[in-house]
Amino acid sequence: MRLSEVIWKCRKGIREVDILLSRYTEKFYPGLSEEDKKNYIEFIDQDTYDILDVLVNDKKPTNKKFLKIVEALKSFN
Amino acid sequence: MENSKIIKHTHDAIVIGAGGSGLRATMGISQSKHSVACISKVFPTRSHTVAAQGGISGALGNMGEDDWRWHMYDTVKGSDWLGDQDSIEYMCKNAVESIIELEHFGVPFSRTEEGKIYQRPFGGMTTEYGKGIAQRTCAAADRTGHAILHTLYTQALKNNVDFYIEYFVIDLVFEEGKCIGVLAWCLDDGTIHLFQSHIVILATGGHGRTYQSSTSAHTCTGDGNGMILRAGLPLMDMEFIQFHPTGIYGAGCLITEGARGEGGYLTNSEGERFMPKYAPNAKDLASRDVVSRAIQMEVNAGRGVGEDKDHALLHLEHLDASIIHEKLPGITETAKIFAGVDATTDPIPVIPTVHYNMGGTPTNHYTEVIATGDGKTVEGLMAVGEGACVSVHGANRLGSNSLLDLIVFGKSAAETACSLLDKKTKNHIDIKSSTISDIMDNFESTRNSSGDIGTAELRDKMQKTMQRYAPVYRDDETLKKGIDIMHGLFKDFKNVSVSDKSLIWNTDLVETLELNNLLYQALATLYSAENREESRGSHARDDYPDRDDKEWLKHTMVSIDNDGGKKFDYKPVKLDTLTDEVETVKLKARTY
Ligand SMILES: Cc1cc2nc3c(=O)[nH]c(=O)nc-3n(C[C@H](O)[C@H](O)[C@H](O)COP(=O)(O)OP(=O)(O)OC[C@H]3O[C@@H](n4cnc5c(N)ncnc54)[C@H](O)[C@@H]3O)c2cc1C
Repeated sequence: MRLSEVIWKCRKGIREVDILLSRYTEKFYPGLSEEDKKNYIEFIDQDTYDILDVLVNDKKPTNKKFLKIVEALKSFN
Repeated sequence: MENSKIIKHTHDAIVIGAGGSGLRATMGISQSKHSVACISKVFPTRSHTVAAQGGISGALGNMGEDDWRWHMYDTVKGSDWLGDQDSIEYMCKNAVESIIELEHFGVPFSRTEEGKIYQRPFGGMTTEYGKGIAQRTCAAADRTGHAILHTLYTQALKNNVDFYIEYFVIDLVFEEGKCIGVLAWCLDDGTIHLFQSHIVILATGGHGRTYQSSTSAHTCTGDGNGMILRAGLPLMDMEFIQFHPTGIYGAGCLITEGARGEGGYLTNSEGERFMPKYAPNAKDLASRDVVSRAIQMEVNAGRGVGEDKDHALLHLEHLDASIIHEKLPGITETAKIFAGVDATTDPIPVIPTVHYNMGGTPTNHYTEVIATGDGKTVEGLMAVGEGACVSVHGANRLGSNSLLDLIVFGKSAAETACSLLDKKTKNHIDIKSSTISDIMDNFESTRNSSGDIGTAELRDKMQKTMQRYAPVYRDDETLKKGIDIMHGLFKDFKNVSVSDKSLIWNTDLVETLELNNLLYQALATLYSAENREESRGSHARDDYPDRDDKEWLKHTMVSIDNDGGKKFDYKPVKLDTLTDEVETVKLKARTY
């Protein structure tokens, strides 16, 4: 998926999520490995609240493969 | 692009927007014999309605006696008497039925032990005309907007609605004064589409992103309102903007009122706890507008915090860490991520933050768009949701009345559209090729624009200007300055540089088109705020501290020309109710 499309998919309807995803995407998405890109797309494709819950409500991600992404998203701001 | 390459679709009705209001309207029309399409720039369940947590109001009376007339009284008073009482009657009376319908569609409302819909108290909602506290707000846990969006989307799919998702509507198409469709751009493959229809319903949401600090998601650029102004039509009551006192400085994310409820308090740059000066009794628990204004007064007096001395600090660190974690879940994480502070040891920087837009596209309670102060309608055009102004919220919206507005008037829009369509012939009129070329020329000139200011940079300037010159507390001098600067920024749009010239997933171009919509609305807000020489509801003028019913019991209608010039018109406030089931709520001071 091209960067600009990923940036559009970062619009999830809730400000907190939009900010975290779009800032991270613009900066780091192009440099991710193909595997990480795939996981990242899958991550941002989840329901908005599933993303909000793991990013700001301290819930564990549903899938282990998202752990790395969540860590990266939370530590970057 | 040549017109011949434009892909044409015809429908009886089209709805622009798939938030709560757009989906309710779409669903309603889809139950009739008329064909309907719904166009949305983001996937429906990513619309901003998803963010609404608190709930939706309606006098169901599940928790004790309640009456839609009490709800109406609260809404009129909340609106500081600027709300139209016919529309407010319509909304409050139809609330119960509309919420029960949502329940039948499948919205999983939280329940009482007896299995009724549970209702919670909410600011400004009372019983017996202000005497008691009402429990009137229905919620689906703390995800009411999410539940409503998902339910309505599922219902619409069942009824074979044609959804055009990730299509960006560029402008409305008019022929002989009638709205006969829209032009849209498919973000995925770059094609341009003409949707022709007998009825167009705008449901494109609010314009919170005109400001630097807002609680709005990225999509909230009020595109429909931009289209209205570009078409030479007016917007109404744009000066009325609701602020939340405690958005995180620099990010806008909300720190809930509950934080002050649990004992949090605000200080200025001198470490002074300032709220007792402004609200000796309620102190830090005073209402939203009082706290927002107090923060701004401190900033204006040079006691703001930080490098730019432009915000305040919210303290929670004196509270037991376990209380913070238990009673205010998510707050420590939110503060850490968005403000970089540990709320258990350090204060959180906060600033009054735009939370709701009362103003927008004027309509009557049938949701038909109005063109003039005397109520003349625009054929073929309707509007609903936060982007519309049927004026149920007047000068100030009560919490949980917005979701109600979406649902009641979304349904009303469907009914109006169907009854108009029943009377129309099915033939679509011919569209002149020059009509389409005019819109496409504009689009192309933006796409090919290669001036010297980037979209993000210009947007940033606009947002900072609004934050600084159209804040909670306004006066003539600041607003005039704001108008000057914004007028310049409006003209600078011609010098914007769009780096990506492609048509496929060109987010740079989308954001530029959105910026154009925002600039129109920012200017409309400033002009209207400067023009209204009184204080009413959310519009607080330092130089005109009182409400002036003799001069200003009227709606502002403002239109903006291509050069950013303005024209005002006024629409009287409807004090008469719709039926004799309820009496007019008589004018008096709004005190709580
Ligand atoms: C944090 C927060 C909490 C809230 N909580 C509550 C609450 O508890 N109770 C309450 O009553 N209210 C609440 N509100 C207010 C309420 O959520 C909004 O007023 C409401 O959701 C707006 O709905 P809408 O249908 O008008 O628009 P939106 O939900 O914003 O939808 C707009 C739609 O228009 C589409 N669109 C826009 N422009 C274009 C274009 N150019 N082309 C194609 N499509 C376009 C979008 O894709 C989207 O589908 C809250 C608001 C916020 C910010």
